[in-house]
Amino acid sequence: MATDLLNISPQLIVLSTTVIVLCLEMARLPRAALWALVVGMLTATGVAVDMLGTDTTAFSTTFRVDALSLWAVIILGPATILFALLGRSELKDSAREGTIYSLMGFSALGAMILAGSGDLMFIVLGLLISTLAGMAMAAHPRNDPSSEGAMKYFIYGSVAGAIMLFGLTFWAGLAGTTLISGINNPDLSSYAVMFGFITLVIGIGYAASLFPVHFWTPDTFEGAPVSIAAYLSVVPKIGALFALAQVVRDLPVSLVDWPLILAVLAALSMTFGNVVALWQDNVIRLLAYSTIAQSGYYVLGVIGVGQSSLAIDSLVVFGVAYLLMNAGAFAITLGEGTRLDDFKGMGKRRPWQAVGMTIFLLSLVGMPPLAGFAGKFLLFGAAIESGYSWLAVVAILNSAISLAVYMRIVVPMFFQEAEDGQIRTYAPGTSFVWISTFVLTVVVGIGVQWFLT
Amino acid sequence: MAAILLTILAPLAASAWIIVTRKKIGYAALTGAAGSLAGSILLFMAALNGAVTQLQFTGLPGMPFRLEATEMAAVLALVVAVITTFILVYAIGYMKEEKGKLRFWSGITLFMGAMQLLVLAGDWILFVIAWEVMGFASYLLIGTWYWKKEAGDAANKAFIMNRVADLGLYVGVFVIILAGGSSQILAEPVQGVSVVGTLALLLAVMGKSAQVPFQSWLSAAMAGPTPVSALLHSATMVAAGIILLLKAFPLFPPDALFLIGLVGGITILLAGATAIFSEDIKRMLAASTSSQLGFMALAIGAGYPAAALAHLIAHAFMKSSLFLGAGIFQHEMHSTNYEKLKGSGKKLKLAFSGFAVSGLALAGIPPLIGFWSKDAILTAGLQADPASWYFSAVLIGAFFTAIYMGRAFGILWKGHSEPEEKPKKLPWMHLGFLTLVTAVIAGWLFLDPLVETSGFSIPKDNIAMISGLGAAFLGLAAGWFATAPIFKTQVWMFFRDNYPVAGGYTNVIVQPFQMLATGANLIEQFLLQSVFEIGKAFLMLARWLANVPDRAMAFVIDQIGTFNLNIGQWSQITDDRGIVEWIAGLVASIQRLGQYGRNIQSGLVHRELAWSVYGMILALIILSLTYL
Repeated sequence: MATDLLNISPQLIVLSTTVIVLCLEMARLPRAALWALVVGMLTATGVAVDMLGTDTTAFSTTFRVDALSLWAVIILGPATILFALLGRSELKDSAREGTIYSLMGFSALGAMILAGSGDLMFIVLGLLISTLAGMAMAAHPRNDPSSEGAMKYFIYGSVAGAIMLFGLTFWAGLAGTTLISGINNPDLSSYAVMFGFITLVIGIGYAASLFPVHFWTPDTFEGAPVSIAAYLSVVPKIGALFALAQVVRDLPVSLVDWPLILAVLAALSMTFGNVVALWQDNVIRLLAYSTIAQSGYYVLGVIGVGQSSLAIDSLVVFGVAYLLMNAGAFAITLGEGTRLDDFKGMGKRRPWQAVGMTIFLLSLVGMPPLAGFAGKFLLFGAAIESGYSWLAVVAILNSAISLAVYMRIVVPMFFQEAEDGQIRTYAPGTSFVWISTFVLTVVVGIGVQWFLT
Repeated sequence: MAAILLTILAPLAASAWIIVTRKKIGYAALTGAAGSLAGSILLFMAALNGAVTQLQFTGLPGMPFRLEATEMAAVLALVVAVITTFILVYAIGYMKEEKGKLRFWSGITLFMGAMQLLVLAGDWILFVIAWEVMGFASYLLIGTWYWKKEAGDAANKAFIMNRVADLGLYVGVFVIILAGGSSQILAEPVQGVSVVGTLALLLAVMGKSAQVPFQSWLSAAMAGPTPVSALLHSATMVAAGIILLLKAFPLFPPDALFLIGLVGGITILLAGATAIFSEDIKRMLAASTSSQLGFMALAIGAGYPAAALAHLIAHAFMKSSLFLGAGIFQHEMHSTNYEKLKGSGKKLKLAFSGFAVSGLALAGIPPLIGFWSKDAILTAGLQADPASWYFSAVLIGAFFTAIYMGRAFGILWKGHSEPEEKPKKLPWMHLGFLTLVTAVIAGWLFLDPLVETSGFSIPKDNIAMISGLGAAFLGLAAGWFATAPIFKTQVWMFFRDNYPVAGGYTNVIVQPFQMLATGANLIEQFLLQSVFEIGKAFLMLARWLANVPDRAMAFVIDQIGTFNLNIGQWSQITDDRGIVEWIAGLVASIQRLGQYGRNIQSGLVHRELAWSVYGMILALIILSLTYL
């Protein structure tokens, strides 16, 4: 018991931090709540870094303490801090500002639980914690668009969750246990396992906004505050995809051809996200569709699990890279405004930010030597090593399309004159986020390449 | 392998497309049918080369699902596909000005897919599934115009009567699987199948193929659109019963065969008499269908499945073109009553000649397709034991057939009536109709080869041929010259109205079901109340949770409501009474819930969710395909 608790200490620290944050919010001390969150998340991250290399399980193998779950803490802890800072910039002095911090903490905890699930119950639990908290955050502004977006998120979540639960009962019934490893038995009935897996993909794909359960994404992002949209685009997604990786690790290909179905969904997500993004005039909607596309790329890493040595590396590296570039892009959008027109003439007005945004977007495309390139390079490698070269080709073609998508933001920044209007200011938190992620996007990109060669 | 899936899935895919997109629905359905046609042609080519296409995939434990295009199944699939495709061509014209398009097109494609599955099923479980889906689709189709009381009643009647008879199928299949230990449909006898088990199958056949005493749903089913009638009465639905007999033929012991022949013979005579005394062209055709199906059952009872198969194919072409012809009359004259149609054949020459050709074929005039198949059944009757019963039943039946066709020709040609407006140009309808008529004319070219491809040979006999011709000419003449008054006496009304003994359908079936429905209604009231309470609780919870503004809330509820309504439309109620009432209540309650928030933004959650579910199903299909 004691070892078990020790093994999950990062998650425990996050939990207690969040509870403290909640108490501080009740005392109407949002500033203190934010600081408590920052300190707690940093502590958890530090503990997790210290534990790296552990590969064990806790609570009779229901929770896995391995590279995936530890790296989830290392990625999501700082991620929560970054988004909380963005939230502070955007929602400072709004009513119930502090609830955002505690909800972020809870949602991150859900994602971390997901990433370490060794048991179907943890998947369900993690998914619920991370998305329900997300829904409350999305509804924070209390206006029509945000309520609509949050409701959409909620309805999708309920339907997808119900479908997933229904399917997972088949798994539990077949295997006689809710442990994920119980499904690793070639004697089980293939069709029931198949059904369970598809419903699982629906439930997890919802959190990761994968096609065809991505529909909530644009509306929810558009309605929610920018910082919350940024949070939703990163944290639940990383948790969900790590959970998917935990599941497929134990799923025999002889029972269900999961790489194939994931490949199809990945290809559809990428293509759908990029193509639809081409038509958006709202930067947040554009980034929402880009999120769907990036999810598609991310699945390539999951496909490699068990078949390619690059799989786990690619998941982790892309996770880091995706956090950095997405957080940066959202931070600058928070500073500039959500319409494409708001970006006009930014190159003259704020050259540094313009360059920063360009770097983030190019990183999303996957340009060397940025972090996004390193992540995608590993993802494509994992797919090719697993025998899914066609998928890698689709992904590369999609990267080309996505260049056109992101150019829609870059072009007005440098080649169009600004409209007259009030110029928005950058809050200190926003500046901190975009500058730090900017530096890291470049450093991580170069660093990983140096590390790889 | 792909061909067999294409044959079944193409129309189903079209159905899904129609429900989801609601665009170009007629052409989508036609594309689906064409896909099925292409698949069945491929299957047929394979069968010509003697190759049996088989597909097997996991089903129930120990009982895998099988799709099997045996020679016979390939031929039947081809016939189904050809006839359905051209009926759909006709329907594009027919449905242009009618309401209920969505329900019609989605239902008819679903129906076609189910029929192809039934034809190609290689195991009993799949067969039962197809049978059920087809029954459901026929319910939807007959009730296409569910807002008309008549259509609603007819749909319920057809469904309920079939349900009663379907019990037989379940019992029969259960017995077969229990005896043989396998769900596969075998071409050899299974040891230990009791006579009772096979008679249970006969019950199912009697329901589906509208044999006495279940024949009355068929004439009620006329309340649906004409293409639906044409389809139900020709290659599908009623044919399913005969296909069941053909597939299960090796299982039947001689005692059971005799009973099948008896049922068939009685139906030939009684339904034939009903047809003679009908006062409505479509009702005449409906009774004629029962009677003709009786011929097929009798042939099987006599031990000649080849003759039954030949007549099944021939009848499919003849009856579909007869219905399509009658539909053109209905379209132009706005009635199907003989009184209103008097002499209209002179105005609508093209439709009349097509109708006449098909009618002559049905009466058994050479060289049209019906001559050959009727000849085969007469021969079968002559060679069966006891020949006196079989042969005389068929001969009198053939005579009856000729009478009612002759009478129809006489009424359509003689006398005088004015169309309400100038004859319209109906290119689609004529295209579909005339193609099928052409098939009736050219039948002697392909009927023999088709039956032989199925591994049978049509029996032929000179005595049978001559007596059949005699009956046909005599009957046609009698029908043409007989005058109206003799058809209208009290006795004949009894024939015409499907023998309402002891209150008929109303007492025997309606009342017990109404009692059942009352019980179901009580339960439903309770359910409704609970749904309301739960809904209210959620509303309050949601309000408390997010303090969501009314507008957004109403929007979401409205969407849920519409989503459920869309589901509801599928099973839309056709009647105020009857067992389906509780569905109506449920739909209406959700609708009421949705009315909290009308006139709100149009969001598309319901459609998007449907896409998600379709995506999931697609993923499942892809995965399953990897295991074939």
